[in-house]
Amino acid sequence: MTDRREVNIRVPVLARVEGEGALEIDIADGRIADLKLRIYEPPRLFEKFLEGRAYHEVPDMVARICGICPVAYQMSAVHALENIFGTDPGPWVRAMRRVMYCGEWMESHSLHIHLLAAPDFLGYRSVIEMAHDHPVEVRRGLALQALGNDLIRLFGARSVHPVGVRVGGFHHAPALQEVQALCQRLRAALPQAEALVAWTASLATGGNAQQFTSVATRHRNEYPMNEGHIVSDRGLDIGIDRYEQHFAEHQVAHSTALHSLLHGQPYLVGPLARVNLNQDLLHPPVRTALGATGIQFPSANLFHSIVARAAEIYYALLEALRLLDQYALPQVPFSEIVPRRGVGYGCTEAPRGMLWHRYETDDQGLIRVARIVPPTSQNQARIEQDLRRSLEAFGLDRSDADLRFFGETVIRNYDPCISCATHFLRLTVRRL
Amino acid sequence: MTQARIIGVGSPFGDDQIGWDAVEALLADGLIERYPPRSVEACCCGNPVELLMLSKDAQAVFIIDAMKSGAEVGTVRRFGPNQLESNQTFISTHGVSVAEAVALGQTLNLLPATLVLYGIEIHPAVLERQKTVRAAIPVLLRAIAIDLESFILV
Repeated sequence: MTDRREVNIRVPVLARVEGEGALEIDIADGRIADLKLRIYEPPRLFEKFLEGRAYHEVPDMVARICGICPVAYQMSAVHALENIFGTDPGPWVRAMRRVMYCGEWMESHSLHIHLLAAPDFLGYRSVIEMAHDHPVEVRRGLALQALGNDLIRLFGARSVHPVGVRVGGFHHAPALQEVQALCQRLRAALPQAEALVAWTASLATGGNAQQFTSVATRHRNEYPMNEGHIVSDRGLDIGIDRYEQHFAEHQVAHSTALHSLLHGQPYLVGPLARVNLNQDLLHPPVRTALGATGIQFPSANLFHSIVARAAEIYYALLEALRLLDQYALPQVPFSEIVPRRGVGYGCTEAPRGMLWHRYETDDQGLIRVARIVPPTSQNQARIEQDLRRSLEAFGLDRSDADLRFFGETVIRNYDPCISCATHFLRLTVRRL
Repeated sequence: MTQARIIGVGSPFGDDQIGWDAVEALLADGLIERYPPRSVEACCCGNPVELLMLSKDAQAVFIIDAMKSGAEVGTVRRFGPNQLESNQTFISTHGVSVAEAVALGQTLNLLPATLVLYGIEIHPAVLERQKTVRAAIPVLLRAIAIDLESFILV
């Protein structure tokens, strides 16, 4: 029987997401009449802050955009600026950047799986409630997160807003002893990461298959992190410098974050999109662990994102070990920069998805224009589309409390980082 | 196992970094050097969840964080773990506050035998650093020194 009641659900403050957002749903005649993921956090204006600053200030400035994924912002920025200056930092820097990024994936994904998403899947209001019944799993999550933080700290001196990254490489190379000690801990954590894949698969039993476009970067011989071209499962395959020809951001009245569309349509970035498009490039033990879950990838069920996140933690551990087992102290941990005028692009894979940067510099390397497109902006239209479909499949005749909880679960499943996404300001100047 | 670890929690946003500033001031003050080597340590962290792993091998942990309790800006308050409500507003990121991290630590038996939290009242909506907040650091250091005297056997 169709529910004819009128329902207005308001979630004024979304919990367990980074930043300030709200959800509004209006139901009339058994259908969703209106649905808005409102992002009301004030605009951050980072792109404007960067204008006029020297290129060497950029890595430390963009790290401030996010406390959870600062490495991603630093990596997209240094790649874009090196693209302008024609700098090749060499194989040591390339490998260690990848290791540092592994740390961020481990830290961010562990936090999301255990503290933010798992309580939803298991029906708890918070991780504190969940920890009473699942202490072993929560301890495992905390340990993996700490390990990721220590990996970031190895290169960045601190895990939040690290300061070790510079255009051309790193300010400092860690001592061999430090690296060896961390390798021992990484190796010891491998069974935990493998078990995590199976555990998340046991949680992700709900959800529904939806049609959507997965977008991620892809590299010819490694799982994407710092480099690659942009691909989709609908045939898109472009260099990162052609992003603006295919993707367009637009303003919506209910959000201080821009909505990004691919050829006018919502799309998905993030761990599920990455696994959907790059599972052949995961290390064999990760593919085996994923295969054992019985879940088929590519998957059209967004609730499988938590499994993709776990697979990426396992991958990050193995990848960091692969690279650090060959660690040798370099003579110099960076390449010298000769600034020049130009336009450059960087596109790397933040834990939440593709993070695209574009900079214009002058002859001295001062930033003339900066543009940053974070993953949450790119996912926002997809989240609203998913909410409509998932809530209707869930049943609009459910109680308000059930609809509210389910709606929040759908949003949190994307691990949105609202603080990262709120960075635009439309300014009109009238000169009379 | 170290006898006491002092942890400053914060972020680089405005006065939310007061926990980091306090640890820096404490190190500059030489407070730690008054005790036997490695018996007292100090460090900083960003995400409150990190507190739990940082607290693991210490007998006593002293946490310093920015606080919003309605008191005057610059007020220093001292709490035991049982005096915190999990929704008490210590300024935090990513939906996990210090109070929630402490509650989680209690559930998982990860907290040290002694846990003391120091909150310094800030105005979170103001991005510029407030002199009244920084002026609270000497008050805080005196309070920590008194606590250390009672916990550390020299």
